[in-house]
Amino acid sequence: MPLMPGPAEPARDPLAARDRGDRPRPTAAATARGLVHPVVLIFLLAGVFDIVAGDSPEHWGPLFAVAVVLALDVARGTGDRAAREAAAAGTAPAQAAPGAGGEGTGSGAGAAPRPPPLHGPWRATPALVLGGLAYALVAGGFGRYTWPSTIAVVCPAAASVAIAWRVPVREAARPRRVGPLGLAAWAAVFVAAALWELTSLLLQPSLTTGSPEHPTISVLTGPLLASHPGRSLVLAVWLAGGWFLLRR
Amino acid sequence: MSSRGLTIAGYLLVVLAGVGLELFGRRPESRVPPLGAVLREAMRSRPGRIGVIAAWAWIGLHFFTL
Repeated sequence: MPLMPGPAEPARDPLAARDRGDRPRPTAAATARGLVHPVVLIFLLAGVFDIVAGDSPEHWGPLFAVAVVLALDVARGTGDRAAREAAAAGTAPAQAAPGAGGEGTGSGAGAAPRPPPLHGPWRATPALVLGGLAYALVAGGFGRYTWPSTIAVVCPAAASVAIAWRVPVREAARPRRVGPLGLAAWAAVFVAAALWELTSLLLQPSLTTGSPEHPTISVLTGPLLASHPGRSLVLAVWLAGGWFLLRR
Repeated sequence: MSSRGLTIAGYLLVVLAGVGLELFGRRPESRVPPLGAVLREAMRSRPGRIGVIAAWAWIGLHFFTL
């Protein structure tokens, strides 16, 4: 009779199971709570508008997929549990990143600045910058809405979402630094942009027919994205945006 | 001004508002934070972080993929 589980035998200890990331199945009520999470609602709404605008399932499908998976994730309550526990205990976990890349809004007094969770390979090294530029140069050579272009964009996009999903969020213990005025000001800018885009969309001859008189952002960027340099430029900016976000 | 000009002017106005807010937020003692701080705030939670990254990913899909 073996006294200890061998390498091929999984441990039956519930604590070990928790450490492995085994999660309980969410109940229907918990799933419903997840579906009304603001982020989930935003993705559901975006998916509906994308359908109404006549976009393809390959575009609105990921929006609904993210909404559903996020709702289940919220229902399980796994994502922010560590952060809440750390906040309740009044301790910042090891991966907390107070003041990481701060823009002068101040960080926790007395706390030594720590690197952000993805600081290691994500620093703007010459190799990373050159790699990004090479990617933009090559991927920009592919025509829009083609398989090569799709593969070139889906790979970094999916990898980034996977990274965002995997890295634990443990920053809730940090003091809140953005006040309601600041949030409201920026929200007003984004809402104004969304409403202006929606107005242009509704003023088109039909939702699926672009109009030069009431151009949406897609119509306006069409000429830029028609050329190789234009596509490379936009892809470089897009990639830099992803890098910027992953370092938050 | 034509409808096209008015529409483009609206977009430019929004962009200018964003740039102005960013510059304003970078001043010392400003009550309005820069965009990076707002995004970091939004990404404090797991759904927020995944949502922001997924939104960025979707922009790439929308403009380039099949």
